[in-house]
Amino acid sequence: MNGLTWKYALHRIGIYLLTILISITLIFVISRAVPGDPIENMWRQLEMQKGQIEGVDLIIDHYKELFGLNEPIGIQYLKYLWNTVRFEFGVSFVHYPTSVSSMIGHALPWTLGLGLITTLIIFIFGNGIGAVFGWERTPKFIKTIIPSSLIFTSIPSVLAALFLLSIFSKNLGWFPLAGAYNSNVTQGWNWPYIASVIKYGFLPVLSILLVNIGWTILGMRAMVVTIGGADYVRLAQAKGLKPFYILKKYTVRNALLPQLTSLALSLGGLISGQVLVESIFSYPGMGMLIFRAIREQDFNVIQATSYMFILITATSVLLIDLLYPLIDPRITHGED
Amino acid sequence: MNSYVLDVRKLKVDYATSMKTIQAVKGISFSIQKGETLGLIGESGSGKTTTAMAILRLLQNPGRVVGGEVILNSDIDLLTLSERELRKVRWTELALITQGSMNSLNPTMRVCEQIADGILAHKEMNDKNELNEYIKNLLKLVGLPERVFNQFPHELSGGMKQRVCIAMAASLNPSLLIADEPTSALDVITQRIVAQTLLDIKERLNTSLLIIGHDIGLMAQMADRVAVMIDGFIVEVGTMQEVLSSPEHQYTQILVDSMPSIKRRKPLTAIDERTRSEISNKLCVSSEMTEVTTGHWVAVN
Amino acid sequence: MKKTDFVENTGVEVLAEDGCKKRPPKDNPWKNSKLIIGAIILGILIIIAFVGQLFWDKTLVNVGSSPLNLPPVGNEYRDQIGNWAHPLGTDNSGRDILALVLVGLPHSLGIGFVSATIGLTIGIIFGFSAGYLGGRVDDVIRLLSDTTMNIPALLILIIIQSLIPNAGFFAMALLLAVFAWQSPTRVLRAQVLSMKHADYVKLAQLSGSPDQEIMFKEMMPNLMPFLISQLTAGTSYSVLILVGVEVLGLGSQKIPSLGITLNNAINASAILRGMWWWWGIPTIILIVVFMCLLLITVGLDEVSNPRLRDH
Repeated sequence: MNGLTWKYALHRIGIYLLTILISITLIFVISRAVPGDPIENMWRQLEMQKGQIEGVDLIIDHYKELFGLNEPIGIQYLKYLWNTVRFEFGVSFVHYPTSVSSMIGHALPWTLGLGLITTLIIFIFGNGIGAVFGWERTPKFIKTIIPSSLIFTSIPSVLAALFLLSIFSKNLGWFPLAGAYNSNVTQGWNWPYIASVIKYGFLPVLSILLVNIGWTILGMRAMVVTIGGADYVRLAQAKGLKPFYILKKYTVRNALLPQLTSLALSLGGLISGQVLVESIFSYPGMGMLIFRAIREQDFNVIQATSYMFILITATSVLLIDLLYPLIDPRITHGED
Repeated sequence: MNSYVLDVRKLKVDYATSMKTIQAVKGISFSIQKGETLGLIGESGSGKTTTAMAILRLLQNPGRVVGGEVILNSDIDLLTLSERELRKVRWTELALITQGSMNSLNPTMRVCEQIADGILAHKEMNDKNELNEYIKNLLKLVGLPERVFNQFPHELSGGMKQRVCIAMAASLNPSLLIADEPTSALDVITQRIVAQTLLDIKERLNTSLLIIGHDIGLMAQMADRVAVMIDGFIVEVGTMQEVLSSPEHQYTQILVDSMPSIKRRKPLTAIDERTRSEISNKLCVSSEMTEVTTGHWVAVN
Repeated sequence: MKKTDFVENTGVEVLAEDGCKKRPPKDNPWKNSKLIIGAIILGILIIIAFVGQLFWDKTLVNVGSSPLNLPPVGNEYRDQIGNWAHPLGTDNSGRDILALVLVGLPHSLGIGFVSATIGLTIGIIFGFSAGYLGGRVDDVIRLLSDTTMNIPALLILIIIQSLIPNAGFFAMALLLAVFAWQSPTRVLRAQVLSMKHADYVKLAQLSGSPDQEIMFKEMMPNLMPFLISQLTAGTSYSVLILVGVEVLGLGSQKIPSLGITLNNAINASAILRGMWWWWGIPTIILIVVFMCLLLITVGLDEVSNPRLRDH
């Protein structure tokens, strides 16, 4: 019997949908709050930067159609909502007629891949190292390494990225300066490609990893120490169970649950950091997309990509929320 | 010679904090015969739980055994065993029942799994069915319904959790069961059920039992012999009947007197600080015991 | 009697029976090393920034005010040698780095601090109300907090900033505050809930004190160090988002800030060109600021929660 009841799941999904709704509404309100016709605004600013744009009338008409700008604001909102939910983001101004969705489509896998790998490494290694640091049987000399080194957790990943790029790519030349893989290699499930993906992704992952893993390690260490003193752990020792077995099944199993919650809470920060790291490393994910779009003043792309990031964050948190009761038998409904 | 299951001699335990050293157990001696139930009674802080933890070698920082011997089954010197040897002895010869209802069961493990791992750590049981039957029998022995087998601790009531702990402790038929305040966190009715269960198990397996508690009334119904502790000293040891009917030591008298009686109205007796310090100080000078009548020992001070 | 090593892993020496080992107890919790170090270094930086602005020419932040691409003192870069007129070098548009730092640091820190203060104020009001009053109020506040908590602030700010590019100091602070109140609210609510059931509060209730009085006279003093730590944590968070938005290229171009400087450096490929002082010096300053804020936050946490100290 697991704790994933309908009541809990619906509650969580409800919050999720509400969050998405609020986000979309927020974006809508902001873009309409700027005085004047939003589309006119966009291309006017663009024109100021770039001079005359070809076929601007076509774009404007297309948009007015798509977003119902000639209709009352209520209808506009609904149309916008409907479009966003269908991932119908329209067309890029600067790269007309490329659709925004296709641009996102190309960038999304890279972002997801980077994010997933980084999160997995942080969770698995962070909690593993934290457990070792917290275990009473770990030799003292290992335990003394920690505390001072964890001050590095305060460094934002973007700044770490700058340093890593400069030292390891520019000065030492060990890693490439931009991109996700070597363009000379053909994509697909072949080793040269995979190896190149790893090489190109190494520093970006490291930037995010180095500064975020500290929190996980600290948190897990505290949990293992606390739980290590619990009655049921003591009883496990009284049973004559092997120490590593106790660590695995009694201590860590119970310590992982709050750590999962911490992970959910930190996902927002991780993803925000990734936006910046991708920009620094010119990694062709959605972060880079935003960076370029800002430079080019491609507002449509900016908005759509931001929304996608919010969607990814909220969905990841939802997944973890739904995963939690499957692991912790005690949770039966929405209350933590 | 002697068929002592447990022989404790001059056990001393200290807690070394950064401020000073606290002597929790100050050189106590007692023994438990085969098949006997010994009650260790005293107030909170008297050192009884520390004694139990010391015997089991489960003392946590900053506690440390600093003197004495603990002999199990007349041939196992518990305090000097290596870690590996200790693990072999644990649960097979020596089992613990704590205040289970609180936090003694792993919240993320089913009852069957928790009972099983204790068994499998010491006994080869490759047939899963055999193991499950064995566990189900244990549950039946303590009067728990079969559904408990697959349940998680949070689904059980306090009394049921405690009985699971008893079943766990009994699973390998140990020579000695140590029950540390087994009923203290339960309501009166449940207390009765659990206490009864404990006694039943003890009879069935013919193990020896060391019960630790502070409720002399309950203790009277469960123990054959009793040892009274105060401030790390044992002041009196004897059969339950003798100690209750003719307590020799000043502290025991106060203790016995404090038992509520339904027969007559007694004024509330409590031990005041001055009296306790007096008693304690006298014991610090000498905690030697003399035999008043056969098997009935009292501290001379 | 054999005195062998009985208990594994305790690492405590066996003491003689009447041995006594005294260590003077740490009386004053405010004498927390992390807190003091963090506060001092940060204080020094702030003082340098303010005093520096009095002595150093602020107009040097403007484009074209200084020679281009000058390295810091003592360094050589493409036939130019650093000099004391621009001790930290200049960027590719002639802006003096020292001036940028002196002006930019208080600017970023200031926005972060103001935003954190606003966020904390909201957090106190919401957190106390939710925790103390419970019921409907609690439900609404929690819903609001839960739904907005997972929206990454950076992204919303990107959208806002791309459409309204020249937001001023207070506008930025306000925008950042929108995302800074959820954490204090959540945490304070939890604190209030646990304190609500504490005995000294019940006593105050029994003696007839009105709710607000209880909240402010009984609970607040205990929460003081904790509240300040929320402030520093909030500042750190806000500055982080602010710098993030600026590094991406959004942000007021009128006021030179550390983030904008970094953005300029990135756009001009400063790393590739080896102009390490352009991006490196603002980066180090920012790193030091963040580290100090973290030290202060952690130090204050230890002050307010004795169990966290020196375990």
